[in-house]
Amino acid sequence: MLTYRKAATLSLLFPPTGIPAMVHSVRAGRLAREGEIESARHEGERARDWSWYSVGFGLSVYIVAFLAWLLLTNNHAVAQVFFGWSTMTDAAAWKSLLKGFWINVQVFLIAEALVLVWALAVAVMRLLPGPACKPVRVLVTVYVDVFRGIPALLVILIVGLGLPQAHVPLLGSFSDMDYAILALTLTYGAYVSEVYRAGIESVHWSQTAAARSLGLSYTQTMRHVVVPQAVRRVIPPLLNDFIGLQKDTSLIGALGVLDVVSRARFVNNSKGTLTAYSMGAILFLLVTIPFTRWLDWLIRRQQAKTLAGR
Amino acid sequence: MKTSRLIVGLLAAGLLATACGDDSTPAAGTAASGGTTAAGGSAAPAAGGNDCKPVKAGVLSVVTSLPGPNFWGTTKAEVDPDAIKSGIEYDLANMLAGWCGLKMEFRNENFDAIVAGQIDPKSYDIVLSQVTITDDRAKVVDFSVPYFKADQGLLVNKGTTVKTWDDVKKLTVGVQASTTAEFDVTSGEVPGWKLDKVKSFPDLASAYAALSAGTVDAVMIDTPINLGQAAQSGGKEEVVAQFKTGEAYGAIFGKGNGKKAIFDPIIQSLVDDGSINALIAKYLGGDPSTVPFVDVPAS
Repeated sequence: MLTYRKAATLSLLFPPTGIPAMVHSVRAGRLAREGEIESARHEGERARDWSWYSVGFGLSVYIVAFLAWLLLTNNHAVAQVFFGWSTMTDAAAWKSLLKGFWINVQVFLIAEALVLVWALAVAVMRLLPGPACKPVRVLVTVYVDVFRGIPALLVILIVGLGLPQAHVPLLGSFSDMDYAILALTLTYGAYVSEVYRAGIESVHWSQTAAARSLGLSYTQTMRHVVVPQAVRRVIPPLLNDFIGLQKDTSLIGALGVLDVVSRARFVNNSKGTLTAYSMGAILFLLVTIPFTRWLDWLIRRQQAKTLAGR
Repeated sequence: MKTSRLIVGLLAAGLLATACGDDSTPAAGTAASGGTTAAGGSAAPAAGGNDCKPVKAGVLSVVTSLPGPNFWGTTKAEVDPDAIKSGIEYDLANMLAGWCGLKMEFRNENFDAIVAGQIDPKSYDIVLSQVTITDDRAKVVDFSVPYFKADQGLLVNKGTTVKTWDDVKKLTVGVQASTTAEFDVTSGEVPGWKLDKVKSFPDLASAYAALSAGTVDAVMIDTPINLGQAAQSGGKEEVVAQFKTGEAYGAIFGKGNGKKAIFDPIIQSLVDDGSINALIAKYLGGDPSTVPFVDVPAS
């Protein structure tokens, strides 16, 4: 085991680091036979290090090479279909997609604001105490179960194509985009209400007990003591759901809204390519990656604060 | 209280977006009135002034479902749905608007919703969206007289030979979801047409990409549409066969709202005087009658 011969041999699969590993391993073997145990150990360790380099670098290089090969194989077919240069460099195509993406951004921002409020209301209703509120609790539980169980696309189609048939006064004046926002709010409201509920339930019962013993009513306790602590705790998971919401705005094209995905389809059909899908993906990444980085930073900061507070 | 400030911020951002984004009309391509754009010198319809009873004053409100290559947008430069300036149905819509003396405006809607009669009839005058006339659809919407014959064509990569229906059965055939081609080869309700190896795609671009990637051997859709793709492929793909269906496209009107009676005569006259054939020749290039017909045995 001293020479790490097996690891070195395996690491030859990636020669740039495999060969040094092998050299050190062979040297270690020779030193061991000559009785230079300490030097042999030293060489063995270096063989081990180089073997690990093989794993880290070799795997990465081969994965990247495989992806590049995917793009280039079959006479650059994949590269041409998904990264067609003439489409990628077409300013008009980008402009068209951006117009659509702006709709996605609007839907996301409005739905997000509505979800924040609606989900908190649902969570609070679900936790209402006493037998008098039982019907409300049951109703809200059914809502959460149903809307968490239906794929967002189906909710959008059912709400967006079905509700207009009801000819309800207020809903009648809704545009397709409004229905999309409503559908996404209903779906994500169900998810996020569960996040809120977890947060509310995570606030220690002694907080409630203390507040009530100070004479605060149930509503005052929730408003001033429990919910503020709960919300602070659930911000990271909450924002995590919003990344999902951002991406699911791509489903609203099903209602005929010319969002970025519908426009990408249109561009693809006119250009005879699938490149506009990649371009749409890039637009989403430009928003979601900074958002996730910011979220990570927020979580780190929160952890630091919590630990410091102990 | 960082938390609540964050939420307030998000709320404010949302409200701001609401305020800015009030105008959420999905699509708004417009064209000048009387835009009877060059139809190859064919007879232009009579000048405006016919009372078409539009749902919105001064405007012929047209609905379609994008993408509709060669019907709404024909060139590689037309990448913005708001700036469509050519296409068989685009030109047809402008001819009709010109006949009515109205401006043409179109908007995008979900195709399934259109053929299910789910678009509010008070919100449009006419649908031009390559919709095949079927008895089932005619129960929920009114169809115009047919303006475009649509037998099913089979697009393959060059080198694939199809001489008989048995040849077709050996192929994996791609279709677009919710089209009559999909119904014909999957439902089993059309004698002899059912195929075992069918893949359904949400839109045509995906089906055509699958053909060039080789994950399907053929794409079945109306012959003229496939001819358009064959022309774009630069000789890599060809329409080797077509199958008689007796199907045709019709415009859609709200059920029983009287629009059919207004538009049928003008559409029929555009068919009779060759205006629509001229559009087809202009935008699709190929002549559907040159593609050999293959019989589908009704077994």
